[in-house]
Amino acid sequence: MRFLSLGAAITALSSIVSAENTDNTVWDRVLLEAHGQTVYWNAWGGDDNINDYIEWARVQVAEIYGVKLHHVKLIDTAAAIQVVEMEFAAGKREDGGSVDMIWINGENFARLKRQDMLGQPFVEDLPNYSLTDFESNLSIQQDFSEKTEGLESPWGLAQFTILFDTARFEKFPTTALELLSWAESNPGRFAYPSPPNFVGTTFIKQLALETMEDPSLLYSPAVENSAILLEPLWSYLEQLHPYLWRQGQAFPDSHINLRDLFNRDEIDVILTFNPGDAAALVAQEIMPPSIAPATFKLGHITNTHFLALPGNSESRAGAMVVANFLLSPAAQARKADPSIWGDTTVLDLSKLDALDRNLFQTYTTALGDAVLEPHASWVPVLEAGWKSKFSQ
Amino acid sequence: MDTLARTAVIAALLIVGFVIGFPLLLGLWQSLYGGLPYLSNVFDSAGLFKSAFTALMSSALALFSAVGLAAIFQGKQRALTWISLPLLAIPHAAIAQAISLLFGPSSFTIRLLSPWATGYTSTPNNWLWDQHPDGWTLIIVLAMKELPFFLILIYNLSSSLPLSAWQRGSTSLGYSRVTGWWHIVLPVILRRLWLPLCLVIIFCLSVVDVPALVGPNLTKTFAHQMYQNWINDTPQGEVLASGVLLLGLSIITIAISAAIFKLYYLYLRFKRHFVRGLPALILPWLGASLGLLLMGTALVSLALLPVQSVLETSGHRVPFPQIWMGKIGLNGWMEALKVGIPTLPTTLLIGALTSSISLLIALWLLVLEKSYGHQRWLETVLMIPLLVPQMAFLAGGAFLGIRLGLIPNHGILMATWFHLLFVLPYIFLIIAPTYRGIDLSFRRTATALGHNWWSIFFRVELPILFRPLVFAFAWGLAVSMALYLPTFFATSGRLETLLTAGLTQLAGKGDNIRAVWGLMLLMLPVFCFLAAYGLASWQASGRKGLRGG
Amino acid sequence: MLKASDINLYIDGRQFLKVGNITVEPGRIVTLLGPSGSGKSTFLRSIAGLNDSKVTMTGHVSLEKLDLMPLPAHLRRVGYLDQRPTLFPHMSVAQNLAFGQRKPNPEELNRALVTSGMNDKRDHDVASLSGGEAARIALMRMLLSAPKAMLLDEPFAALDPQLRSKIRGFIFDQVRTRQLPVLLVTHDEEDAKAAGGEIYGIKNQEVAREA
Repeated sequence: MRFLSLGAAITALSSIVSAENTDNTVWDRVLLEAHGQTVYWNAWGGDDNINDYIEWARVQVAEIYGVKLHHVKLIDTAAAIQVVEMEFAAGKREDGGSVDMIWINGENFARLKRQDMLGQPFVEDLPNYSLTDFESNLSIQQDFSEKTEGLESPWGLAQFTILFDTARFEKFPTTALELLSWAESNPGRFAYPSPPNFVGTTFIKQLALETMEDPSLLYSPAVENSAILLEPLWSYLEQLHPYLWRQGQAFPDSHINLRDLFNRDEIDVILTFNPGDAAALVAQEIMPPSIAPATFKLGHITNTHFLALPGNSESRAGAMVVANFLLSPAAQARKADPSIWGDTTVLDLSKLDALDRNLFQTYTTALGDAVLEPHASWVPVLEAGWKSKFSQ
Repeated sequence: MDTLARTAVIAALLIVGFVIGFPLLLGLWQSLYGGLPYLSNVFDSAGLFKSAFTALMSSALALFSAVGLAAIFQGKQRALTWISLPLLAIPHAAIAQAISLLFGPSSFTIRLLSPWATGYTSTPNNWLWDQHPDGWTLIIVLAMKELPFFLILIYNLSSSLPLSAWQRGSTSLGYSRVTGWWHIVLPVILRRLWLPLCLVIIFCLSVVDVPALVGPNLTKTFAHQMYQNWINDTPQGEVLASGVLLLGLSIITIAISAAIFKLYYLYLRFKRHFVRGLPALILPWLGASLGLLLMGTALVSLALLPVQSVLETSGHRVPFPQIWMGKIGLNGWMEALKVGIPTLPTTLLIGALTSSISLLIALWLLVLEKSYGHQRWLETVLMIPLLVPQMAFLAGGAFLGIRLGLIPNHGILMATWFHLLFVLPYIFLIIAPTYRGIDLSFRRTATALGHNWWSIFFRVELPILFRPLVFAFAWGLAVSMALYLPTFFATSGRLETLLTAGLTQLAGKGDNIRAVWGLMLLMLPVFCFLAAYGLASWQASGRKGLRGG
Repeated sequence: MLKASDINLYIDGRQFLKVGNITVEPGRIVTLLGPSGSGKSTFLRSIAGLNDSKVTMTGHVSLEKLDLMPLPAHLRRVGYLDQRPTLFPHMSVAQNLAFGQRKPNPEELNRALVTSGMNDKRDHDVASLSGGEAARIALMRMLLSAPKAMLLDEPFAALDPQLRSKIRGFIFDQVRTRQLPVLLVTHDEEDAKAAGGEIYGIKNQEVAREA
């Protein structure tokens, strides 16, 4: 009974918050249906702070909406994609699915979307979606050039950058050329994870944007002989590699390994896709306080990570309620807090009222100029090219 | 009894067929169907070569060291068993972790020696020993883990051979103990180690967690590359095609090792001179020295894990060559125990169920074999799950589970089923030689004393088998605890075991947390083994005849 | 009375031994004398039903007019002693003896222990016994199972000569006092003489009466 009355109170509250284009009666029905549902949320489980945040959300949605949230901890999102694909292949297309919500972006999203496994668009039904900059923010409308079409709800913002140790360096490189000379004068102190690790791939994307004669070509689909266009990138990397960690004879598998290598004094950089990492890793006592992000003259490759709902979920209403809760100013602000997680918010702060806006005051939003992700078809070209150049 | 026996045979076929064959065939079909069109996309000669090279080298090194140790330390196997059993139970990842902690350029050891002995004032950037690009670190780590497996198998096998009679024979002809063993016992034992050797080779070909820690990580092994592709969103078809290629590579590698074996036996057949004296000791001693070196290094590096686990590295950097790696504290343990302990009931339940069912099936098949002769094909079918890349057929099994409505709501059942595919073959492998080796006269005598079939089975054969049985049970637990993908697919990730929780925790953590998890993952199986060992010793107390050869 | 007639033995379908007619009266020890490898042990085991499925036998075997052929081995009540004493390693001396009893009978067990001279070693590990001790235990255990006939497959073959005649005497005494029909196979003429009964030999894969 307590849950019901609380739920009703929240319904009332959300009707105040939500923008006028949302049909309240539709959302009311979703809330009612969601009550008592169990939602299995498949999300990467490798970070205690993120796990703790999700645990906090679990308690919140249980108390406020009566939704039972379970965090299925993944080593990698591809595993959840495989599960969904298998279920569809086994004939579970409408119901009987085991994944109710996935933390997702990029190729994983495109893969499910292409196979029509995400059901009906839902994001416009979420009252809090209107608080994002969905009208003009390209990285919310598109996920690696794939139109989101209301099939995934934005959750956080990612931006590629490199963190340096301010205790040892005053000036950080801001261009590819500066990076090269930095590496030359600090041999062995730079490393990047080998593609296809997504941070490693993003690093060479960022370099490709800078070294290619006509970078705009990266935004149209790669064609058969597009690989030739990447020659300047490979010759740049050939110059860089002898000055890398272990002279380019070995590469870290994952961007996460860079943290350990840094703390063990093997390298002086950390590559990250989270602009808030500099503050967050310090606040969470993972990295020393002397790290700070570099700013690239060109701007930083930027994308958004999302929440998608597989079409065979039996708890779609519950998952929608959770997705909406995660878009609420309170949840987004907590997520942006570096001592909690430090993930940049997807909300458009100008759309919030003063009280909510204050919640975000001190947190990083973005680093500077955002550069959109190149077209997804370039990823295999870059990865195959890298492999044939450097790992045979 | 005859119709009963026939029913039993048919039931065995059905069970083996359903439990193993069905998901396997379905998965393989799916892989071939979905993967063949992409074969050329994923063909990677460098990676395939590196895989074959590391797998063959590591299994050869392990086998050679194991026979060397067995030859030199005849009669002292108790001590070696005490070292082997825990090593056998330890997950590969824990050893890899320990080795990379011991041999890294910024490790404890190098810091201790720097700069006074090494001349390094900053971490050496041409250092490759902790992840050698040619795969030598990988070869050594794999050999460390497979060596005890071979050693234990050799002991199990020798207990069914008339060793002392052979020994008497060769000694009286003037051969030393070691040389005699090498000339007489080795050829017999090697022949029976062929199948285990295949398992080891295949394991080395498809292992991913070890190369992830110790390289090679520029030109990766094929399976490692395949896993990297899989978690980095490569299209499904290409992943399946990689599985098909891996299968092909397995067949080729096995063929190569088969050819080497054939050559060895051909050589034995036409050998007319048997080496004696000092020259005959070169090979055994070389093997034994390598074996001791491998085991010693493994033990030393594992001994460093507890030290590492309380050195908190997070939150600050430790300038090279400062030795003090951080502050001491139990935070890593607190964190890991908080996550690990709740998973214990599930982990143990699945492990115990899997092991018990595997033991029952294995015994059943062996009993049938006694009355109906040795069914080689059945044994081969049992081994297939270990001979085929996991990723290829797990998808098929999961497909079946979903179809039957068992996934995701009957997680324990499905996980037990999937684990069975991997545990049953090992358990069969461990108890089969001993069961087959039970002296026929036991059964003859007991029958003449008027005991019926079942009475002999329970009152004579099982008690004599007690030791290998508890050992197999513990080994089954250890295998089950180390399965990640099967657990994940069987439960859609909803059930957490110690390993699945541990692996999600390992990604992105400091060295101390990794060391804690390495220890947590090794403590549980080691504890099971010690318990098994204790139980077997208790049963055998005052019964010399049960301790095996 | 143990009777075997018109016996043909096959291994994997190939005939390797023919036995015309052997009759053993209660209290007599009949010997089948032949070199090793002649198939006499296989013949003995076939009477008791103890061979594996490779060996097949046709013909008639009866014990006290009961046809043995259709009976499963454990119900034939034919005692059998192997060339080496087979003691179960997980049982003590007394347990091994008790394993032979069809019903628990402590007094009988004690008598067997005394007879075999093992009273003070009743709880010992069988692995610690000498060859002679093991042979005595194996015999007494077989006798405790109350067989109606006894088949001896050179049960003293593995013993050294001195012990050999001693154990042989012990075994013969024990089976004679029980008035059992006994069939002994051996390659040693000494054994055959000591047995005192009829002697059969093997020639051209056929068993024939010699004395």
